[in-house]
Amino acid sequence: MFSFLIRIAFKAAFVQKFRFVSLTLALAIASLLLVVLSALFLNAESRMAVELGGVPNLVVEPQNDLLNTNTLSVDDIRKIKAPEYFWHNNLANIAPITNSNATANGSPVKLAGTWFDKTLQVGDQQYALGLLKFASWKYTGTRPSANSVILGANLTLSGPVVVSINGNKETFHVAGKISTGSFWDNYVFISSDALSKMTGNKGFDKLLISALFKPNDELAAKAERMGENKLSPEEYEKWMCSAYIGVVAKTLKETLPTTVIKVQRRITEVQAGIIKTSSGIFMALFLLTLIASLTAIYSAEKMYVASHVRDFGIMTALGASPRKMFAQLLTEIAIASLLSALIIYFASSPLVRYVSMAVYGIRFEATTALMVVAVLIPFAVSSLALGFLRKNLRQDTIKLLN
Amino acid sequence: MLFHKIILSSIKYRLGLYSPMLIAVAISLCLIGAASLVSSNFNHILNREMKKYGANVIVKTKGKIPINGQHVALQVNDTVIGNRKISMASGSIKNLLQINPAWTAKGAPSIMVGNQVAGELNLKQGQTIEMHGVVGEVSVFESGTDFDSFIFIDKKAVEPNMYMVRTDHPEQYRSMNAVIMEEMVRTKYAVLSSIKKLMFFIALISVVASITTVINLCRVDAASRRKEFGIFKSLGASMFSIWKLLSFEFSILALVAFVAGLAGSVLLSWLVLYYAAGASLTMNLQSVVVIAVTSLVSFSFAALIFIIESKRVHVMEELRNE
Repeated sequence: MFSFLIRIAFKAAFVQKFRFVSLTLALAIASLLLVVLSALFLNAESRMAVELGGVPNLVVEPQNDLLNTNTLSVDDIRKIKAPEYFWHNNLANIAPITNSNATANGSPVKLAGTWFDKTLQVGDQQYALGLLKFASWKYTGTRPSANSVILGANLTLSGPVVVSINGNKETFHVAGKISTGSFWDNYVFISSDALSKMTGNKGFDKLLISALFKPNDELAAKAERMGENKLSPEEYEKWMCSAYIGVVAKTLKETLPTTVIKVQRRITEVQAGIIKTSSGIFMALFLLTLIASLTAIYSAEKMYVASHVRDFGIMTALGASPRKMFAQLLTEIAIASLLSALIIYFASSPLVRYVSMAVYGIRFEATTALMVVAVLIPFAVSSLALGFLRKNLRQDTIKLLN
Repeated sequence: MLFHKIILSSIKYRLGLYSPMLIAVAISLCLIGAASLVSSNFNHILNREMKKYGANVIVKTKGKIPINGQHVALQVNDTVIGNRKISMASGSIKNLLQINPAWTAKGAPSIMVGNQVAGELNLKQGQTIEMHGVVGEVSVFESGTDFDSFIFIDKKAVEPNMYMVRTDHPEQYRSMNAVIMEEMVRTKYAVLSSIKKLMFFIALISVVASITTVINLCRVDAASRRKEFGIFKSLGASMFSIWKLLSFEFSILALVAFVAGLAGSVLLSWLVLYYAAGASLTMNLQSVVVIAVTSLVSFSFAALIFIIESKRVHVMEELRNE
């Protein structure tokens, strides 16, 4: 009985080539649409966070008092990029800054020693950090070296630049210009190694950090309003395990106790606002896409069944029971669902990669969970179409034949 | 009269086929419209969020200057408290907090102390102090900027020497030796560009889905259409009259789909923007045109296929329905 069903279903699919192919393609396209757009929507929030995280939003400064003058060191940066620091992966970029009063070609300038693009080894991990790694700060020029200076966008120095600090003179060439859109556009940047060679000072005055964080919700607002000590133990645990900017700042302070952590609130507020609203919009659009895809699949199946009505009539006239016809149609739809599932399985990964590259400029991978769901969709919607199928089969033979 | 009758009969006869087709197309159009409208409204949402950045221009100059936009005039003087040099600024604290919504200050303070200077002077939140003739409770604020080492007093700036301005057009202040903070502007454009690309992609896929749905569903009816065309032709109808009949019928469908799609788009975009982003919807002509064109193109494709098919097949074959 089963082999007969399969045979007749295959035969029917072969005879109605166009309709069968269009049903299979409709199932595959609608599910692919869902997989691709879901991958885009689900990754949009993190992508947005990276896009927005291109500017420093935390500043770490040493805590000085009358007795002690502290500075920051490379070890401090290693401490906060080490796996022992829970949020080390959230610190997207770190640039140390050492300020100095200097003259360039005889005119007083604001000078900052920094890392341009340094590879820092922390345990078995390597991180590329520095001034040029802030994605929203636009650098134009050649790759800087230890003998180069980078000029802030507002400065107009050209040719070899003679930098003088406390009588020590060094000549640098201009590698390029950096546009930050902030007061850093008035600075001349040299490598921190070159600056420490000129001043003899090896420490850093501050660390500029771009941290990826979770926008504040009710819990974070409560912690901010009342202080985290007023939270219940459960709330406190939840708060500490969420990447709120307040939590990142607090844990940084715990890791580097002799520092002051300044949250650049004007930046974090904008970042949080954009992430929050975008996520809501993406979720809503995801739901719309889901509805549109399901409707497309349902219409395709309805079309396929409707095109079969005359066949039902002939088969009923020949003595076939509605149960048998139902089983045959079910087998045909199952074959189409299976074929579309195969198409989705093989096409979704390259398509998601291509589309994410076109939209965001980076490659996303389709998650296994998403692909499993997408492969199941045609089967799930097929079962929804059964009601429609049954209604058609219950019609009178003469009506079906007409 | 006969012409209209034929079209209406055809639509009535195919209502069972046309209703799922119209629903599917209207849903695709809703998605296209929603993507287009959300994309065009996203700029307003970003601008609203960008306001949280606060003052983006700081002009240090003595005397009054022409200023457009939200601003606060401050009189900043250095003063010595204990043995520390502190920057003290007089001005409207209400305006200051309005212009810098990201600053955290509690209540409606008359004396605002930056957290850095509060730590140095051991001033506590709510502590009553007297400063430059103003008596009030200390409100410790945090901005993450150099202003954390300032004390602000709610007192008129008699001789203002600093202006904090929040404006969407900071370029006009360049000639005034102002500090212009634009660090989030570039980010805004990067975000906007990503969003626009994403929405364009959704719309593009939906256009393809819409056209495919119409063509697919029309093919279900291909056999009876062929027979109808055969009868029309045998009664003397020219290809032009068949084309006219088909165009009118499909134009009505396109119009219905357009109206449903537009209404759905407006409703969905409003829901998405209002509930997900707390923003209101601003209509734009481009979205309406996109919905209309997609609807028209989808049905035109289907009509075109019928016409081409009918032109290639002999009238006898059409009558035999082969």
